Parts: sequence; C-alpha cells; structure tokens
Amino acid sequence: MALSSPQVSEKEAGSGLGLLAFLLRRVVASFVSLVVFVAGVFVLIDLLIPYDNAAINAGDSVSLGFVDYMAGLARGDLGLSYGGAPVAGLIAEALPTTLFIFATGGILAYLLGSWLGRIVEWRSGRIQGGMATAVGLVFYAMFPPLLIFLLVHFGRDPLLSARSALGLPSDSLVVFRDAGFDEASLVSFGGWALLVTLLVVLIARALGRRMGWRLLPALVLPAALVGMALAVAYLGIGRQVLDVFFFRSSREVEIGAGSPVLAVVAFLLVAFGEVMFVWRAGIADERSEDYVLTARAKAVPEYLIRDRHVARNVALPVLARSFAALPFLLTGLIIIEYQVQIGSCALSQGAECVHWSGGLSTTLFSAVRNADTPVIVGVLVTMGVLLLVLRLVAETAQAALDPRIRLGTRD
Amino acid sequence: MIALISGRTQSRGTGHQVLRHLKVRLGLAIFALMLIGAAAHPLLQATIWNGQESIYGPETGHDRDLEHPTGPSLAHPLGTDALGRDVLSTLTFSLAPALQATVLAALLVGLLSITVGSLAAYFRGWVDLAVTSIGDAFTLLPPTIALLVVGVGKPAFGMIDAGLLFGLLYGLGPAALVIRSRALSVIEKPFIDAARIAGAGSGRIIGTQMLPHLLPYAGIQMMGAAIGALTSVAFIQYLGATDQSRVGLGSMIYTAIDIQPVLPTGYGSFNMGDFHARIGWTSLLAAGLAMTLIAAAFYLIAVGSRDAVIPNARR
Repeated sequence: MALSSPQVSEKEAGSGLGLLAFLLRRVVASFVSLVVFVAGVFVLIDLLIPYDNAAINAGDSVSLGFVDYMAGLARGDLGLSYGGAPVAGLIAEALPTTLFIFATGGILAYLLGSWLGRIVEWRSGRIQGGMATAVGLVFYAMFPPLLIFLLVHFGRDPLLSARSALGLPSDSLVVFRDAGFDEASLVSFGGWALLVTLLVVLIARALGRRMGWRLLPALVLPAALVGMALAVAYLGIGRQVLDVFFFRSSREVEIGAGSPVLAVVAFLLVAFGEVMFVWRAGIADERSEDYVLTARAKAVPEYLIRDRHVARNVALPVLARSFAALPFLLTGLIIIEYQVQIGSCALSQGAECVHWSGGLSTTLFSAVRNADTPVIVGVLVTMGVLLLVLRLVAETAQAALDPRIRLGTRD
Repeated sequence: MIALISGRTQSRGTGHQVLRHLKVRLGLAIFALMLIGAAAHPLLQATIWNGQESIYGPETGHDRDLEHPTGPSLAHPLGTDALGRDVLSTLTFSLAPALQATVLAALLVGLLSITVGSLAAYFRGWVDLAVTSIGDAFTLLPPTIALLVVGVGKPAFGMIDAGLLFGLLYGLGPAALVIRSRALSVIEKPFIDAARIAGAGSGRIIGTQMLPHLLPYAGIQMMGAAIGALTSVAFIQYLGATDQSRVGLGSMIYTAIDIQPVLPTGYGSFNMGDFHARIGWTSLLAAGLAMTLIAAAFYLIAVGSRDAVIPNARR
C-alpha cells in the first residue's frame, strides 16, 4: 500500500515503533477525553439534578469532589452509594450480565449483518436491497419496549401455547424438578459457553480468511451450532435448554423476571441493521474498483471476489464505523435490559427464580429512582470507560493493519 | 469537481434540486401529516369534543359506558385504551411534544455540528484540539442515557428540555466529529485555494464554499439525532406513564402493553388469554406507527437531500 506522505520512510511505517508512537498518542488523547468526560458528567449531575446538591454540600461520606473522584477512579474506587455499599462493588456485580448480552448479541449481529450486507449489496437487486434497508431500519428505529413486546407476543407466547397443546410440561418448575440442576446454573454455564463458542467462531473465521483457507470461514459457524446441539443431546438437557431459550415458564409473566436470551435476541435485532448498512456502503464503494474487474476477467468465481478480495478491503472501514455506533448500541441495550427486567425476580414475592443478576440498566434505573447520585455517576463513568477502552482497541487494530492511520495521513 | 466560486447561485439551484427529489417530497408529506395531526387536537377539543373533557381528555378521559380497551367505533374512531382514554385524542395530543423534541434536537445538532466542525477544520490549532477533545468526551456519554438520568421521574423536565439537552450532547459530540472530518476533506479541495486567492475572507469561505458540501452530511446527523431524541423522549414517557403526568407516544405504548390484569397466585394457573384481551391494539398500532412515520420522514428528507446534492453519494 503506497504511503501518501513522502516525509515518512517505509521503514518507519512498517516498524513497530510507529505503532507504539500511535498508541502512546491515543492513550494520552483518551486520558484527556476521560477527564473532560468525567467533568461533563459532574456538570450534568450538578446542574441538572437539583436533589443532589444538598448531599454534595453537606460534605458527608459521599464525597463527589471532582479531584477526589478522579484520584479514586485511578484506584478503581468509585465512592460509596447512599446505602453505604461501595459503588465499584455494585457495578462489578452488574457488569457481567451487560457485557454478556452486549458481546453475544453484538457478535451475532455482526455475523448476521455482515453476511446480509455482503449478499444483498453484491447482487444489488433493487427489491432485495429495498427490503433489506426497510427491515434493518424498522428494527433499528423501533421503540425497544415495543420490539420486546412483539417478540414475546408473536414469538414466545405461541411456542408456550404449542408446548401446552403437545401435553409437555408448561412450567419451568416441572421441567427442572427432576433434572438434577437448576435454571440458574444452566443459564449461567450455557450463556458463557455460547459466548466463548461465538468468540472462537469469530477468531477462526478471521484466521481462515487471512490464511486463505476456504472451508474454515464457511464451516466454522455451522460446525459450532451442530457441536452445541450434539453436546445438548449427549447431556440429555434438551428440554431444559429449550425452556430457558424460548419459554421461561409462565411465572416469568407473573413476576416479571426476563430471560437474558430474550435480551440477546432483541439486541441482535436492534444492532444487525447498523452492521448491514455499513457493510453495504463498503461493498458499494469497492465493487466498481479495477481489481474487481481484473478478477472477473480472470474468471474468479463471484463469491471469491466478494469474500476474499472486496470483503478484506471493506473490513477496516466497517470496523471503524461499527465502533462509532457502539454508544448508541449500548443505549439500546440499557433500554432492552430495563424492559426485559433481567434479575428483577429477586425483588418479587420471594419466589424461586433464576439467579442471573441484573445488568447495568437495573443498577442505573434503581439509582435514578432512589436519587443515588454516586451510583448514577459510577454507572455513567463505567460506561464511558468501557466505550473508551473499546475505541482504543479498535483504533489500535486499525493502526496495526493500515499504516496510513498510524502515520496520521488518513483521518 | 467544478469549482464553486459562485456559491449563492449554486445553493439556490441545489435547493430546487433537493425539493424536487422524490424522497424529500415524500418525507415532507409525512412530516406535514404529522403536523396536521398535532394541530388537529386543539381543533377537535374546541369543536367536536367540546364540553366532553371527561370522555375525550387525553390524560384523564374515560368513557363509562364501555368496557375498555375497545376497537374503533363512531364515538372513538381509533378505539380506547385499557384506561378508557380515547386513542385519537391521546395520539393527536402526543404528536406535538414528540415533534417539538425531535425537531429541536435535529436543528440544534445541525447548527452546532456545522459551526463547530467547520471552525475546527478551518482554523485547526487549539480550536481543533478543543473541538475534538470535547467531541471525544461527549461521545462517551450517550445522549439518551444522559436524558434518562436527568428526566426520569421529574415532571418539571419537559420535552423541550429533552430536545435541547439531546441536541447539545449529540451536536457537540459525535455529529461535530463527523462534520469536522468532512470539513477537513473539503478544505483540501482546489476551489478553497481558488477562493482564498480571489480574496475571500474566512466567513465567506466557510459560509459559501464549505457549507454547501457539509449540509448533506449534517442532514444525516440531524436524522440520527431526531430518531434518537424520539426514542429517548418516548422512553421517558414510557417510564413516567404510571403517574399520568406524561401523556405521549411512549405512555400510549405502556398503557397498551403493560397494563396487566390482576394475576392469580400459583404458577400454573395463569391464563394467557386474560392478558391478551387487555392489550390495547389500536393504541399500540397508533403510537408505533406514529413513531415509525416520524423516523421515516426524517430519514427520507435527510437521505433524499443528500442524494439530490451528491448524486453518487454512498449510503
């Protein structure tokens, strides 16, 4: 790849030194962003939430001074909630649930969106393209509580009715009574197993593409699905997995404890459109390049031109733009988590329930309702730091792959 | 690209091009429909529903003669919701705050992002450093989350406040960064040098040479802000629906799907039919459709404008 800046030697561009300097610059810039961001959160809380001023001015144990807070943040200390519990502890408890849904739904959305984007744009039929745009937009712009209602009403409920009609036990308590394990361990273990499998699939696909192995990227996802199905069949837990996956029993309606699977599906639907649009834009940009014409002239099969030549050139801008959308996807997830009410069963009626703890959304909204400012600030700062770290990872990956970025010749 | 020294003539021609574009016209038509809907509420209250506040009031109206929710009828063309409120009345009442918040957010995002983004690209140096630092920081605070933190459970926080706050955070954050990036590529074009050589000042170069190239991209950012603000405002209404202080599209959806019957105890005895019978389908459809149409109007206007100005623009 030619460098557009003549002052920079190719040796410097190719060396790890360039990348290190880039990384250093970005870390410093990220630190500045973090300081401005935390200051912004303080201003927001101070100016716009009137109930907090008394607590701050009283100078009690809940110290929210900016400098103190930044010093605490460096040590991982986010202060104490009004209830007296360390905020960092509350967040550490909630973060795995949010990260699980974010990662699992995000990976699935990426797989679906990139596949659809490539297929639809490459064929470039007007009807298919229009339909894909409409479907992606509808899910992207749909009010999340409405989306979840539709998923439950037209997806989960008919399945629940069908299960009753077939004479199968229609209550999770019955399904799990003789299983020898409870829902909590299944949801927890199964969820993380699914996430790890998806990560392996992603890495294998990327590796396969890079090394030029044709079969690996195409087969790894179906193989993983078949593998998981076989594992479930071997362990004889099919009925319980289905229960957790689709039905989650009638008491979910009763006590309002939602399934993380429902949240993952909703997040997948909200997020895949963004990935699809970005992929389509990238493919549209590249499809008329000279190298595509050359490949066609050499009778390279269309799918190979698309997946091995065009997709590689598109992947980098797609990565950048997908990461730019992360704050909005995280927002969608917070609303979805609220609506699905993961973990809320712990609050209700003392009923037996899945011990899948609530995510950041539960922590945030309960803090907002209780006017617990230290927890609100803690959740906002955690989300900011999370986004900052993800952005730094994306920028580093881009800079490692594209010398123009680390040399500052491409914005 | 042809040099655009005669910026004003070009802008006028571009304006006509934009208005002639099919998507823009369709978007404007949908938007006009929503405005008519919002304007219809006070008119209906003053005429057909005059003196019937107890039945057609959007917040506390209740038709005692019916068992709610009901489907469409002559008395209630869009039916009633589970609380007995007339859906046409709540819908027309809800459109105004939704439109206020979305339009305000979109306009503020357009104004801020173009001003800040073009100034950063033109002057570079510390101006650019300040804009990118603030933009980077604001990108870490999603505006919807900020709005929820500030607005939930506080009736004093109105929809205009919501639009302003959303527009401020989005306009100085992600939108400013995108427009700055576009402005940086525009400023490298030969016609900017040509304008400088011709003696044009900073204001003229930014206003007549850079602005026309930034507007289509600002339009896309404005669309994003409008859709985001719409969802945020609806969610605040959704969360505040129980105290009836915030009638809006969000609370219409809440009333339609979350007002549940008193549940029997015991796991197996719950009858799904009881729940389904209480869903206010007309309320759900009306609010869902209104939100989709408002989002679609902004999408069509933004994408149509961009396609009209830059015919070979990518999605």
